[in-house]
Amino acid sequence: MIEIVQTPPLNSVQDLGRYGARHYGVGTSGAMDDVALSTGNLLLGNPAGAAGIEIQMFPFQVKFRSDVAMAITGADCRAELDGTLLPPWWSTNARAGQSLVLQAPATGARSYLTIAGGVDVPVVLGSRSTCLRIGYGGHRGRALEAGDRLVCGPDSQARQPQGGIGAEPPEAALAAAAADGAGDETVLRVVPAAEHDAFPAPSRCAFWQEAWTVSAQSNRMGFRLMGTPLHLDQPLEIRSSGIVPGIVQVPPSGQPIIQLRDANSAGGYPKIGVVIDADLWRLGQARPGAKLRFVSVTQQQAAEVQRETEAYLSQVAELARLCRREARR
Amino acid sequence: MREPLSLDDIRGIATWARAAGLGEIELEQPGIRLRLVFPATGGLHLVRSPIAGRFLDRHPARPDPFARPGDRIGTRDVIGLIQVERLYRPVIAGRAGVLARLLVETGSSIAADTPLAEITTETEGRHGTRS
Amino acid sequence: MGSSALLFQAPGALDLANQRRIWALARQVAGWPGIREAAPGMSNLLVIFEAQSCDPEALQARLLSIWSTVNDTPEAGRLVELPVIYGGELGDDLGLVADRAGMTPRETAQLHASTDYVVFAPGSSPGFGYLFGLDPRLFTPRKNEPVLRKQTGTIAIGGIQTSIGAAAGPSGWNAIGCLSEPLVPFDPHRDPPSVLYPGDRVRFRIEAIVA
Repeated sequence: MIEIVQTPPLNSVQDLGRYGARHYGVGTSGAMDDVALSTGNLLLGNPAGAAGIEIQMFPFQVKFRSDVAMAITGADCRAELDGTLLPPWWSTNARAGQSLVLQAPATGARSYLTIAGGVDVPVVLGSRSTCLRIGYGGHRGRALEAGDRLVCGPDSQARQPQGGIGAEPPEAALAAAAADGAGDETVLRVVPAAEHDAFPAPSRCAFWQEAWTVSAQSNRMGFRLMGTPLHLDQPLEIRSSGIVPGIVQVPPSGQPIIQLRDANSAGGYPKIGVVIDADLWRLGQARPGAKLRFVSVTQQQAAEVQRETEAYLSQVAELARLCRREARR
Repeated sequence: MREPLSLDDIRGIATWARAAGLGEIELEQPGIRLRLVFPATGGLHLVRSPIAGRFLDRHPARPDPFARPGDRIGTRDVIGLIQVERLYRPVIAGRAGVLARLLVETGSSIAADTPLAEITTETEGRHGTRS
Repeated sequence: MGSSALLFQAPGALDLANQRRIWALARQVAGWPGIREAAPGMSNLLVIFEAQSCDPEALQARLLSIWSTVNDTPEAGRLVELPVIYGGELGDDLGLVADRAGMTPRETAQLHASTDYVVFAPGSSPGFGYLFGLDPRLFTPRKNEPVLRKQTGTIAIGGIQTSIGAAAGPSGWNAIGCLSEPLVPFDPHRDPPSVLYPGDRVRFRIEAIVA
C-alpha cells in the first residue's frame, strides 16, 4: 500500500484508457504518456495497462506502507527513494517506511509511478482511469490528495533484481520523424483528416510548415495552439462525430486545438488532421510554451510507427522478465 | 642469551613480511616476543560486471557520470550501467570506499565478470611490539 | 483518422432513416474482430480498432459495402419529458436566436418546444446526447469563441443541432434555456448510467419563458 504524503492538484490514477463505453458519451481518459506508463508496468512484470499514478504537478511525495517493487518513468523528476537519487526510467524494490519524492522535471511534463500488481482502484465502465473532467473512475473519481492511500493489486509480491533494472528511454529508442526546423521542436506525425482538403492552400501550408506554440490553456483535455490563424473560405456545416485523442480541430478562431485524453467525446469543429497514436506520448511530454511541428504521413506509415513502438515495449517486457528469472536462481 | 632485536632488525622483518603480503607476524624466542600487525591501507576492491553488455559510466538521459574518481562510494551505490539491448542493469559498488578509477571506457562492450572499476577501501589498523 | 480510428460519414441527408441505419451499422460493426468502439455520430460512425489486427483499408471497404444493405429497423427507445425554463440568465442567447429567426423570444421558445426530438448519438459529454429534429428556422451557427457554462442542463443550439448540456465548461453553442429540475446526466454507478440513449425521444415542456 502507498500513502500520498504531498501532492499539488491534477495528479491522478490512470491506466491506458476506457474503451467500449462510447455509447454513454464517455471519452477515453488514460495516461497522456501511454508509453511511459506501459514501460513502467512492463519493467515490473505487470500487464502494460495496469493502473499507475500520473504526476503532472510537482513536488509529489509518497510513503510506502508495505514492501513493493516500483518504477518511475516519463519525465526525469530526479526521484529520490529515502534520499537516494534513482536513475530515470528505473524500477527498484521499495521497503515499508521508505519515502519517494519527485521534483519538477527540467524537461518533459509528466512522470509515472507504477507498482507491482498495479494500483487497485475499482474498475468503472471497463477502466481504472480517472475522468477528471466529469469526475468518475480512478481513486474516488478525483485527483489525488494528501492522505490518500492506494492499495496494490494482487501479484504485488513480485520483486526486482537486486539494485533494480532500467529501460532505455523512448526518446533514445524510438526515432521521431525528421523535420526541417529548430532542434527543440517536438515533431508529430499527422494523418490528414476529413476536412483537410476543404482548407485553402495558404491555411494548409501554414498548418504543415509552421512551428505551433502550445499555449498556457493546455491540459489533459486538449492543447490550444498559437500561430497563423487557419480559415476556411466558406463556413462548413460539420455533423458532430466522435472524437479520439490526437484530433486537431480548427474552431472559428482559426487557432487549432489538439483534443487529448479528457476531451469531449464528440464535437463538430472542422478536423484538419489526426496526430498518430504512436506520437501521442510526445504530446504528453510537451509543456506550455513548447513548439510543435506537424509532418504528414499515411495511415500505413502510422501503422509502421505503431509496430516499432510495440516492438520496443515487447523487448522491454521480455528482457525484464529474463532479468527477474535469473535473479531468482 | 641472544642479543635483543635492534630497530633495524624489526624494520627488516616488517619489510619482508609486508612484501610477502602478510597482515600480521609473530615471532617468539626465549625472552623475546615480537608481534607486528600491518594496517590494511591501500586495499583495492575490484568492481566486476554482473553480466555481458555495454558499459556506461552515466545514464544517457543525464549529463553527469554516476561517480568520478575521488568520490566517496557507499556499498550499495550505482557507479555505472550495463546495457543489454533495451535494458540497463546497475553496476553496484559492493564495498564502501573511494572511487580510484574506472577501468573501462564508457560505451565499451564487455564480458561478464570484467573488472570495471577500482575502489580504494579503508579498514582500521593497529600495531605494537613487546619484548 | 490516425492509426487506429476511422470516421465513416454516411452519404445523404441528416435524417431519421439514415440515422437508424447508422445505429444498425454500429451494432453490426461492434461485433467484428479487432473493433474496440463503434460510436454513432450525426449520420456518421466512429470506428476505433486495434491497429495490429485490423487493416484500415479493408475495414473501410467492408463498411462501404455493408452500408448499402443495412436495414433501418427502428430503435426501441423511450419518450422522456423534460421541463424547461426558456430564456433568463441560463438561456441568455434566446434573444440572439430569436433575432436571427425573425421571431420574438416567446415564439422561438414555443417553436423549439413543439417538436419531439430523437436522440441521435451520444453527446460531447455523457448523459443527454445529440438531439435531432430542430426546426430549420432555429438553425444558428456556433460562436467564434466558446463561453464558459457553469451548469449542466443548458438547452442550446449549435448549427443545425440542439442539445442539453451535460457538463459545465466552455461551449460554442447558443444557450436558449435550462432544465428546470436538476438532473444528473451521467452516473457510472447508476443503472442505466445515462439519462438519454440513442433512439430515445425527448419532449421539452415549457415551465416558463423569461424573455
